[in-house]
Formats: sequence, C-alpha cells, structure tokens
Amino acid sequence: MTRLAEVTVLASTDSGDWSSVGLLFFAAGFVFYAVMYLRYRNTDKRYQHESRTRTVTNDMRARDEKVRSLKGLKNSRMRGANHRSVKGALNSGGGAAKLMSALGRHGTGR
Amino acid sequence: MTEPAAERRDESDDRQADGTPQVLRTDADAASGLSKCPRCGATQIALNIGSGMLRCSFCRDEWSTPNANEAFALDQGVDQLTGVTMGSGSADIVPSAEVVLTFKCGACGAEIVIDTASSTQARCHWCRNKLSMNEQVPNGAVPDMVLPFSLPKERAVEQIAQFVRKRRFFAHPRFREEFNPENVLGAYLPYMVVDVNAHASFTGQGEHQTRRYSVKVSDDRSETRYDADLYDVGRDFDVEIHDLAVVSSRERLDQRSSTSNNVINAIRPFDLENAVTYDSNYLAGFTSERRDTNVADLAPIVDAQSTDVARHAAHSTLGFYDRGVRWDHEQLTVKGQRWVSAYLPVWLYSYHQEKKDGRSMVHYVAVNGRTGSVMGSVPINYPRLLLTSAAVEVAGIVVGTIILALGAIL
Repeated sequence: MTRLAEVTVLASTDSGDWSSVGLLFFAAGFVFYAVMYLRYRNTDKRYQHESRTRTVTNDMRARDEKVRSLKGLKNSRMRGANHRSVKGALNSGGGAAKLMSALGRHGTGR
Repeated sequence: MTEPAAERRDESDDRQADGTPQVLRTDADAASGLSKCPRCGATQIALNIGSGMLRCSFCRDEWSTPNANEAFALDQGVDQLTGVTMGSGSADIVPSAEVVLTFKCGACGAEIVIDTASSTQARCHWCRNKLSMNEQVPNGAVPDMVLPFSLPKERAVEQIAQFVRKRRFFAHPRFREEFNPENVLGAYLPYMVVDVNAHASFTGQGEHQTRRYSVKVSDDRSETRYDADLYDVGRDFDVEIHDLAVVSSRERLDQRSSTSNNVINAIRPFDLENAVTYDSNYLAGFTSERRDTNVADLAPIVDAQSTDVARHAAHSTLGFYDRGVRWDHEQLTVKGQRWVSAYLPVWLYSYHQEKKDGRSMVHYVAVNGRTGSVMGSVPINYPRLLLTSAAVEVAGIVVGTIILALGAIL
C-alpha cells in the first residue's frame, strides 16, 4: 500500500489531474494481491550477480560521439535502453532459464 | 526492443581443440578410509561451529585444513588466466562412475558402503569407526573445497521463526499448524566458483537530456516533453571477474516459480575467501548434495552472467547518459577461466505442500550458514488472500469514485 500511495502522490504532483489519481485507486485490490503474493512466496528474489560479484576493470577505452539533437520527446527514458538488463538470472524468463531447461533434458547427472 | 547481438568468443578455442583443460590438483594429500585425529587417533571428528575448526570428540583437540585460496593460489592471477583451468574436483562426471561406493574399514576389515548422493561418510557397523571419502572419484561427490558452517543451528531456527512469524496472516492454515523451525537441516550444497579473465566490448547509442518542459495539448491538459542529444557510445575494456558462483545441482538450477529454489540463491553471498581444502569431517552431522553437472553444462550460464557483470561494470562510465544507453552489440572475449567446485553451507527448512489437484511443491526457508541471511517461500491461504484483496478493491473503487467526483466538482 505504501508503494501505491507513493505512486499516487507522484502522479498528483506531476499532472495535478484528479482523474488519474482516482483511477489509480481502482487497481488497489490487484496491487494488494501482487504485493502480498511476493511477500509470502518471494518468487522475484534472486542473488544480484551482476552488481555483487567482485570485478576489476582495466584499460577502459570510451567512445562518445554526438550524432544529433532530438526535440519534443514524450518519454522520460530512452526507447530501448538496455544498459541495466540482466540475462543470466535463473528465475526469470531470460536466456539462462532457457539454457537451464536444456540442461534438464541433456544434463550429466543420473 | 531489439535484442543486441551478443557474442562470446573464446581465445583458447584452439588450445582446447587439441587438449584438455589444465587441471589444478586439489586432492594430492587426500586419503579415503579411516580419517584419524592427529593427536589420539580417534575417528569421531566433527566441525566445531563456534571455532570453525575440526574437533576430536575424544581428546577435544582442534585443527583445520588449509585455506583453499592460499593452498591453490585461487586469489592470484585472474588477469593472467588463459584457457580453461579446473580443479580436479570439478572434473567431468563419468556416467559409469558409481554413486554408492564400498570401502574396506581399516580397523576391522569390514566392507562399508557410502552413498555419496547425500554424504561422504559412513560408520562401520562392526567397530563403530567412521570412514571418510576424501579422494576425488569422477562422480561429483568430493569437491575442491568446502566452506564450513559458522552459524549455529539455534540462530538459524530463530531466523526462520522470525521470518515466518512476519508472514502468518495469509499463510496456509495447514502450514501454520505444522510449522516447526526445529526441523531445520544443515546442508552443504554444490557450487562451481568461477574466475574469469575477459575483454568486453559494447557499442550502441545513448541519450543525454538537455531540456524538460511542458506543452499544452488541450485547454485543461498539459504534457511533459524532453529534448536530448543522441550519441554513438562505445566501451572497450579488460575485466576480471572474481568468484562468480553457480549452483551445480541440476535440481537446484531449476529456479522457476513452480519451485522455491530461487530463495536458496537469494541468501548469497558467501565469504568464499574463507573456504578450506576438503575434508569429509566438515560434513559430519550435516547432509550434502552431490554435484551432477559438468563445466560444459554450466558454461552457458556462466557466460551469460559474466556478460551481465561486464555490462554492469561499464555503468560507472555512463553517468552522462541520464536517459539511458541502448547497447546494439555486446561481445565478451573470454581469455581464461578457472573453475573450482565447492560445498557451501545452508540451513534449510523445507515444507512439502500437497495441493488439492494432486500436485505438490516443496517450500524452502533458507538461512546462509555463514552470514545468517534468510529468505523463504511460505504457502499461501488463497481464499483468505483473494477475499481480502476483493475487500481492498471495493474500498479502492469507493475512494477512487469519490476522488473522481470531487475532481468533476472542483
């Protein structure tokens, strides 16, 4: 419920539109169910290997070349941005999950 | 969104084609059979969780095996790794290798069976001496190193009880009735610990916001717009990845929501720098799960996670791109890898839930046997959760309607 309240405050601050605030409350039951489900089953929890694994980087070479300026964009984030994506998480539907399924069919163990 | 073209090249492919990986021998001094106290010769030896050392139950003498990092130089030279190096305890499992092994008791000569699927020790039923399996046979039972438990059972029981206490209201009534944290078991789970020496190359585009403003789209409505500069972005760097750990039991690798194995993964990290060379006596009184996957089976997962780690390592150089970066091409060139197998300590409370439709599911509450970090899955009382959610939904509709009405009036 706290998250819902935060969303509500942000929405009201951003647009000042009462109708969007009111509509948010219409999803309260579904949000409550999802929050409680995750609190009990924790199906979304995993070890964040991408950020918590010890790493040393060397010889960093960067290239940044301006291409052009963009005007009047509607989205606050870049379309297709994927620099924070994670593909090796085993509890997601990502690539590693598929590899894991293949392992189930062809694995070594008896 | 278009998936970036990801590549993984292995500079050591040529080397692998004509030979096998370099093997780091980790059981050179190991011997199976009677494992005796160096002071009094007794075989009743177990881990003293308080000190982290092995203790003889007769003379109370304590000792430990060497630190694995120091014994096998695992903390050195990741940037020098080339090709694939693997500990001898990480060698491929030979399908014909026996899981149930027979040893001759060195004290009385009896034939004793050890089922390595869940243990590497057995007691001689004639002379009561304990036999240990410390030599590595190609069945995945004896790893290169072990991280002993340091968190006592009492602390694990407290952690589990506290975790469940916070989740009682919507817990399944049968679970609430049958829950007993005293039933927690200490288990050593098999992991592969991998060091990677690689070169990463990412190319794509990024956006930097230059202006944010509002535009009127109708008489009573305005929207936010953004101006941004678009850049071609490239990052090219060497990366050393230390101690990337992947569970090496096929059953535990399945972390879909139909299992609760993901909670075991979530209690990491482990302080792998404190792992010691393997001795079966560390497992006395605990259960263990045999590794049943090979390096080749886990390599695709390690490659995907290594690329994740490299992608994240580039973040610190992307602060300028406040609207984000889209990588169109990702390449991780692996120069070298070192694979070492390990047993890591987990306190596990498990609850087998039988569902009405005949299906069943095991829910775990897991506690890290070193740090005490806890995570779990509690079976849900769905009728109660659905009814409560419906009540919240009705309340939400009422409040939402009032707000809409107020908005119309004001």
